[in-house]
Amino acid sequence: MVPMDQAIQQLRERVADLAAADRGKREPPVLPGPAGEPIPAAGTAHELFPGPSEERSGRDPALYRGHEGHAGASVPRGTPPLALMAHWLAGHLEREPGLVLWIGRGVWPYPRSLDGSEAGRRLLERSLLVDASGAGDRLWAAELALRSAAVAGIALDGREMDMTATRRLQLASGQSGALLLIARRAEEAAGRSACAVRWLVEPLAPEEAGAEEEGLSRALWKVRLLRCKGLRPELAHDTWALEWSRAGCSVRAHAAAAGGSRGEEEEESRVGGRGSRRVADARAGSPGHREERRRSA
Amino acid sequence: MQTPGLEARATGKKGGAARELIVLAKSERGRRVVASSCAQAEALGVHAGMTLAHAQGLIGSRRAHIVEDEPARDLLLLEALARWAMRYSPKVAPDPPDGLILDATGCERLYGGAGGEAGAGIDRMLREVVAGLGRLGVQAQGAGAPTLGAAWGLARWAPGGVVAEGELASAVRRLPAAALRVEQRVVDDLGAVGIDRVEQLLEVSREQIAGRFGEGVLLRIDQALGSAMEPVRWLRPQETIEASARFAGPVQSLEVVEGAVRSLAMELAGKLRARSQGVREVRLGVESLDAELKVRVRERALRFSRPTRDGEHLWKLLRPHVERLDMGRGVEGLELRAVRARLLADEQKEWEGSRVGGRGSRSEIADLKFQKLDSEAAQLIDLLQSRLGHGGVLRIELVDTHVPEGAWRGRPADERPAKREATGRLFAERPTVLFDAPERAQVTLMHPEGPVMVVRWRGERRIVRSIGPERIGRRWWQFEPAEVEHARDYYRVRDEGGRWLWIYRNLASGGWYVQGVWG
Repeated sequence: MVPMDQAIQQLRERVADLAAADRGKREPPVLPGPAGEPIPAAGTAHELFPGPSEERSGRDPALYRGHEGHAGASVPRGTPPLALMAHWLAGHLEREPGLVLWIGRGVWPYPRSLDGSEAGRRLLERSLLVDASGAGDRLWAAELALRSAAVAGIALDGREMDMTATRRLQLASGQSGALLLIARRAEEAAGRSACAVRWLVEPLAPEEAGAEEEGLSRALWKVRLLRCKGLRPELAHDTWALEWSRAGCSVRAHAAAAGGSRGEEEEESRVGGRGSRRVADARAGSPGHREERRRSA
Repeated sequence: MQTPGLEARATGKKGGAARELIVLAKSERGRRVVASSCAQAEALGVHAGMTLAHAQGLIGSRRAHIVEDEPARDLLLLEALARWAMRYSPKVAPDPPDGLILDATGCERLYGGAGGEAGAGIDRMLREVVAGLGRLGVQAQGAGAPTLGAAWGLARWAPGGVVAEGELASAVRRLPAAALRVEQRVVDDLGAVGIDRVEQLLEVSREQIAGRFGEGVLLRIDQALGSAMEPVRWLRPQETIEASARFAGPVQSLEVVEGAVRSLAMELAGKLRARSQGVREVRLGVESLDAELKVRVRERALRFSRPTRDGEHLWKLLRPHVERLDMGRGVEGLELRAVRARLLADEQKEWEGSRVGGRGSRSEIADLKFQKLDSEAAQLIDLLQSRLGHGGVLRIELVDTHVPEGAWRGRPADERPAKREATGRLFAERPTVLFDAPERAQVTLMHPEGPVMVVRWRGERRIVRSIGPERIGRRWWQFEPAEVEHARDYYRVRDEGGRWLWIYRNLASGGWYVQGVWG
């Protein structure tokens, strides 16, 4: 038997969904992009979970960069999917003017990874890094930002946010035109959350995406839409393999797994610039020739 | 009718206590000469006009500051001192290059001299002004007289006294001719014919003075003796924009105080709007009774990231301060003062680079939209900073350096962005997550200088792909030890699970570290 308060809560959420769907004009929370990749929409809270610990190979999960300044706090929990968040926020900025707030040190991107493209530089210019450490402060800052008309996107460190917090965020985001992306910890996926859209982002080895990708030198992720409350989005798949390409600061749909059509192979970005540089590209186990890249300082 | 004037002559630079020598230097005709110097330097024999080299020889090995003489800066300082001196007299004017004119009419009452004792009162006032300037670090000397001309001369050549109406003529006569404020060449001319003092000059007939030395000399004599008017441009006091409220009795109700502060904020906003100004800092002064029923005034200052005249915004930021107020036995008065007010229209143009700009009606609308966004953004920043602190909201600035952790810095959002450095575009891949402190790892290579095979960091990972090395930090043509410390060889490695890491080997110590991941 489901306990009473949980049942009431579920009923409440269902009523809210129905009421929202009733309005008719509402957009689905995830839209399909030109290459079939998913585009999260504003007006709802998106929470992103890193992959569960790689239990099958018996390794620790990767490090979560959210240490709060006191010793012993940098415990590995999972890396927030900053590349994906940056890409989605940059895309949102193309359509809407405004600021992007990165709330919480755990979600501050490394700016040099974003300055390779026009969209990335625009993202950097419009970014504000908000140093709020406690969950209460982060929640307060996020609500404030959602209420402000000057904000187009928010990347929020959502660790230790409980049901009340996520409910408040979901409500506030419903009335805001800003894209809200919440990065949470892998183990928090078991808890309840009021966020309408839930994503799972895991690193993907190219071998799993298809044999010909083995030579890929860029990061690949498997992005899965776990939950999507509200209007049913018109998407062909629910899982994508997305690639981080710095020249475009973008994550292109490389190949859609789980029964989707394959995306196009994208061209290698040129490493131009002063002098000739050749990428050193050594494969483990291959005795092939190596070229080294030297940086001229 | 002339009014008694008083003049203090300031040396225009901070002499200070016996800390350091200060010499102002300027370039004259290709040489470096001393423009002026502090009292200590003068005691050593340095004076204006001597070459800088000579002066340095006199100073010897003592610590001295040799500062460039900037007349413009001195003028600003003089004006600031004049404003400061307004506490002594309502009419103050700066007299460049190094003088202050204060009108002491009617002020003698404040200093204890009324009626017949006017002179004593002004004398005390003069001494207080000089002492006050001395506390600020400015050497000054001054004198008082019924006319400006006489005061000017007396302050420079016979300082320290106040001349009454009856003694004016005799005092002026004793002054040297240069005290008349005439040009140097006229003074030389007078000296050539043996006229050194004013009384000698007065023996000459007026027509002859006018004929040989010019009408100006006559004017100056008349001004000094009081027969000619001399207009002075007094400084206009800067009006402070403020709104205040007093209660009939001590009030302890928080709601009443909140309501009062809110209406003060609206009133202040209205005044600012009327003047087309915005404020960057306000001070809220609260007058309350403490436990012993004594009046106590406390002030809180509030700063804004951009000038604002929005009453609601002022109230939103004042509110937490009001709530935390300690009202003691009751609040009796409130005052809200604008400390730094600027013309608002000017400041609004500078903001982030994402302006549409340009001419034409469509971009005007877009501009308006951006302006509205700007003010909303500024309000958001203010609110965030009020709780998270000045450094709690940062903007990203890229720094032109190869050292990865130094390649960016955060600048508080309310500071003006520094000039954008021309940062070269980086063509290399950089991780999206950079650790604050690189973490140690154990790395096994296939062979030295070869690809990475295993990384032991938070578990053991077998590396499937290794790209590198990318050497950062060592210029091959330099051999300073500091550079070598930073030299690192970076590798991008991917493990079996698909996770990419950014690791490096410190070339000096040989240790391996993980500095970032792609997340």
